[in-house]
Amino acid sequence: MSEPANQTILRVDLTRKTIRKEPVEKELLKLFLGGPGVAAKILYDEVDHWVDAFDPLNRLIMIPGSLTGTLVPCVGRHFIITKSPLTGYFAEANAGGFWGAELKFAGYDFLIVTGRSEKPAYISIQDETVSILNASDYWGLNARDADRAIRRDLGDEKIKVADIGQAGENLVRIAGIMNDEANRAAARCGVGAVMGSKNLKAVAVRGHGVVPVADSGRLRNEVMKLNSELAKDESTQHFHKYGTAGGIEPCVVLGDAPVANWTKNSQFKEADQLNLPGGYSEISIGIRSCHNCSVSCRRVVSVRNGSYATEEKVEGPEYESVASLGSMCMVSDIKAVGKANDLCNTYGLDTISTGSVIAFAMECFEKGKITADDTDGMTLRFGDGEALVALVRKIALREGFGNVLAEGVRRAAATIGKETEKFAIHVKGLELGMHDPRANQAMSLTYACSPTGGRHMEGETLWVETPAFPVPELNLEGLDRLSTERKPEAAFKVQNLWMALSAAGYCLLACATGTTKPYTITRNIELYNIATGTQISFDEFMKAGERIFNVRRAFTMRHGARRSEDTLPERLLKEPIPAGPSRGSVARLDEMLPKFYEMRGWDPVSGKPLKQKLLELGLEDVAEDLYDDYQYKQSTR
Amino acid sequence: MTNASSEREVLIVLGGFQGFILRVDLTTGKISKERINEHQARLFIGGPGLGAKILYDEVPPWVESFDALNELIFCTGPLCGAGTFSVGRHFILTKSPLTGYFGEANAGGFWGAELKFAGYDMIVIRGRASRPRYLFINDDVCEIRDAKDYWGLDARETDRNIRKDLGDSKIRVATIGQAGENLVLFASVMNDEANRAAARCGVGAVMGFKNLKGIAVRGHKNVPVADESRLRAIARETGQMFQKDTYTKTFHKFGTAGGYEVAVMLGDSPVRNWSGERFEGVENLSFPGGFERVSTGTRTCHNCVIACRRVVSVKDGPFQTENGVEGPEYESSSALGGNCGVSDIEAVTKANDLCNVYGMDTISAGSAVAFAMECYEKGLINDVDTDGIDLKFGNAPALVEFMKKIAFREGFGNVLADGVKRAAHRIGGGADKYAIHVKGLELGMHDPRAFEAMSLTYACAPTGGRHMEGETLWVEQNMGIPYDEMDLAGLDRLSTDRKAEAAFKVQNVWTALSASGYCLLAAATGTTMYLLSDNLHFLQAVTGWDMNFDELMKAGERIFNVRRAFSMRHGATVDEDTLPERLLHEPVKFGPSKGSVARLDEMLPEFYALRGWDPQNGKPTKEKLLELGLDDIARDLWA
Repeated sequence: MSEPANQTILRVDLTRKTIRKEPVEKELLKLFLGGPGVAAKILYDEVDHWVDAFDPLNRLIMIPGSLTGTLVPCVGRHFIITKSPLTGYFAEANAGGFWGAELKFAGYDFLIVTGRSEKPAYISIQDETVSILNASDYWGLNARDADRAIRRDLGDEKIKVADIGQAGENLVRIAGIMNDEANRAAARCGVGAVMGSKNLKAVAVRGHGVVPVADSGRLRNEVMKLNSELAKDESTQHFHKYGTAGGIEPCVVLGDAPVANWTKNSQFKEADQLNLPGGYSEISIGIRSCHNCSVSCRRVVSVRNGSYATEEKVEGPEYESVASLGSMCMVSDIKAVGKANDLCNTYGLDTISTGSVIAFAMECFEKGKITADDTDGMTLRFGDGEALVALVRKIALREGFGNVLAEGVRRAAATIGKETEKFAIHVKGLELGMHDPRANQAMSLTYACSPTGGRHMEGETLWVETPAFPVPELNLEGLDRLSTERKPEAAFKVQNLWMALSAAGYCLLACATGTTKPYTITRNIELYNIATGTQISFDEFMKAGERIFNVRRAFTMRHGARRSEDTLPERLLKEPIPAGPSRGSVARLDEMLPKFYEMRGWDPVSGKPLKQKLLELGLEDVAEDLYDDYQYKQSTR
Repeated sequence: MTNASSEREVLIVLGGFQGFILRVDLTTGKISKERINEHQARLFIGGPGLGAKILYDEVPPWVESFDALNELIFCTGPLCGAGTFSVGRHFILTKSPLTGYFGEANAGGFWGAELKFAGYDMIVIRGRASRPRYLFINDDVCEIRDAKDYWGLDARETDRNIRKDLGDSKIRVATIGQAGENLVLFASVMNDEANRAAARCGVGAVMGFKNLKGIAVRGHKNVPVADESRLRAIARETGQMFQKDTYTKTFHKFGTAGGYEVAVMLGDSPVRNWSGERFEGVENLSFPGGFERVSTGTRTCHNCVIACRRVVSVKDGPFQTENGVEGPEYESSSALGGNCGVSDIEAVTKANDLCNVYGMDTISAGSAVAFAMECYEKGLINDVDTDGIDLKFGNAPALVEFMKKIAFREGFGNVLADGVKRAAHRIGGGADKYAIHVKGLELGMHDPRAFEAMSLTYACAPTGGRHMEGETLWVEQNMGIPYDEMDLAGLDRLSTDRKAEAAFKVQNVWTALSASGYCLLAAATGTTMYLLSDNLHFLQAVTGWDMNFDELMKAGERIFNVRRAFSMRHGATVDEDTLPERLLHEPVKFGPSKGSVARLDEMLPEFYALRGWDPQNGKPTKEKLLELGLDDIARDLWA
């Protein structure tokens, strides 16, 4: 393996108002592939267990992937790595669009923000010129208005802005960080609240450089070949035409997409009204692309009039948002869902967590745990689109009952009491992604054991669990989604793969799900090698993914997670899916967990990665942290 | 809903307790009253003892200090307001933003007794208001009110304005200043017109995070007493004794500031960031001595026989203060004076008053400035960092200037506002050597190199470097009246012999007496004639409990372990049971403690054994927890 190219970290301390540039250690790039992989190790090294999420010493790391900004298709993502205020553990959120590539063009591979500005501030990055500027004029604006105002005031339309809306300012624990005029969201784990706690409104970036690649001629050839194949691939073109929202109806039918706060899966006949094609067609007016993407799955929508009217051209809800704001709340009016989605975007809220906490509130209301006295007079029933839209606003602004829900389902349940924690569907404090582990058993392991809590993007096994989407390199053919057989192996492999692909910058939906058939994993790795000049094999690539997963896990364990938290909400373990092709299924986590721990090399008692596993992965320092014993400390004191 | 009058009929009167916890949720705006559990009260005595168990039970490890679900518990001991002496204290418990572990602060004055008179032993505050609010408690009427008119005001103005606006000057107000609003991690909660401070562990920042500006209280109820005639008899007897007691008189005359000079001479009171050096200007701060220049009178807390509070004023010049404000106590003189090398009493008085009005812990604020001064002198920071201020030891105007910069998080004040542990991380370059803290809390102003057992209190206290977890120095110097019950006569302060035992006993007795409501300085140091047996007899008379001394000590041990269990469960590790390197390796350079370092390692194994703590992980062992009747905690820690 030859030497990877130089990468640069830009460090900003908002407390001391200092800006510093430094090179990334080459060894880190080799071990962790770059991007969020390296960022995980930096967070592990720099954020001690006694640092809280809202502590000025918490780091907010904003990074594109290793390949972002190159010719390689479908790598237009950036990632936010920090300590989560929802879980208290490792946090990741990521988004597509143009911000990540722009940071690369400006000459930076990593932005690490620490400290807390005394007044609202934003960071301006224009190639070499980096400054911390006063954001008082933008504080209080929504994320879209702030994006536009900053570009206007800096006098350059082409600047790319990542920013928070009012939700992040108000430390709403389910706030995200938006970009592309608040149409794209790095939303999970409450990363927007961390940005708000730093009094940081935005990071505005403009760059004019070129991202260096090892062999640009060969890369160009390979990419042209790939793109022409993708243009002919039926599955890719279907994805282009309908985007992720094309999946809502089939997923509801299957029992995968949750309905009515995970109580009525497969019992939502109106799902077609949210699907594309279907009811979604009514608001869909176009398609957009992320930076250098050969798929282009972003929906442009518009609700022209009525109480759910939106701006002329905003982006429409993706699958996760249609599910969380739609089927989870049983709202079948696509205009209401479109509006709620756009409000989440402008206020800067995670649609998954927002929809989940509203569905939770609806169940609490219907079951008499809360009444109109608690909800500022609102009637909260499943299916009420007006209540949905009204609550999004209340949550972002922490108005009345919104102040309860703004803390996420775990804390909302603790505030309401009355055993409502049964309705709070989360793992480690993070609301679950919109795929039911009862419909795809290996998802149980991803949700229960992931370092970030209930995040589906830690390894979405459902693609390999369904025969339609083979990923040949993984050797996982013939799985049965309702069986637990070989599922620890599936979870282990998919998680490692997804970690490694993420580190490279690949959009996982485009590159790791099997939906773009010509874009195989072999090709992902080949392009990585051509661009970076390394000679990494498939096995090494997977090993790097395992290494990254374990560093994240180690962070979470060191920050207080316990083995007993590797579980699922009782509802998913005990209440079967009531209808449809997954009828009768519960998440059989216990059947899979021991084998999974064994494959992962994790201690079944403490849940920590075992010493020998850490050493095998070359993580000696982490091993020393996790297994440093009393005698050792005494002798070196 | 139960009828209120029938509720009163079935209520068993528990002496010393009003019997109610007031629960306030700032997120939902709900307020409710809850009965005190009598069984729990006896196990944990009440006040901060009972409060510790509630905090343990209700704040799980995933709740952070700046979290709507973190609780802020204001409580008083059973003796407070019941007619005994030197019990006018209130206690604030929360998860600390400085340490992430158990947090306690407490203050004297009149607020605690007023809360008791209003009919409550405790307020448990949860949630986070979306806009600034304050709480008004007028006997049975409790309201969450809009505080937008007070947000941004200092603690003294807030206190005055709230009382004026409510039209009752007898209302008592506990409030934060701007430091708490700005989440300065060592912000305090002030009372008595911002002259008294519950300051340690960043309790004011937690209040600020909750958007709670203050708690205004007015009460008219009596505190029930189990045995009135016995109480009167003990009060008469001890009252006469106090009148004759010369210790008490000296203490009244000079207050805690009277101890400053001796402590500096002994090497106990830190100088120039714990350099272990002599402090030339000490007489300018001592009392009698330079302190006389600012002292204008004395004041008392609720029902105190000592009345040690200093009234001071700086009449003119750059450090001018209002008339009738209160002066620096021992800890403040030491932190803002000697530890910063500042020997100008007017500057120290001004810095102290600024801490009070902005609402900041004088110990942590002084420690942060002293830390910065050392970093500056050693070249780790320069004029660019300090906004042009020449931050050398002894620069009195710089000290005063930095109080404001910290409270408002201006410039370099924003770095120091996070406490020394975090400031050192931010500065880097080895600055952590100069950050004198344990578990993130700046140390109290007593040097363990001068009193070896203090090493154990600082290193192992659940709250971090807090001296009030068990100030062993009194028994270590055989000072004042001997406490026979403790059986600790003849200790040598520089030896480690029997120090594990001393720390164990003093911690337990201090924890138990705190839970009862006592002012520890008045009642547990031997500097007054207040005997431990008097303490116990008062507790028996007021509560009606037939508790003996051993049981009292056991209750103290139980509480100490609940607090420890909280900290361990919230992530404390055994290797955090240590002291700053400086205290372990750099000897005192002068005087009667010359050559001494803190020999923690010599004492730690025995201390762990006495405490029944696992030496591998620092947790109280299962056996110890079961012995103390803490079965539920044993399940949590050893599942």
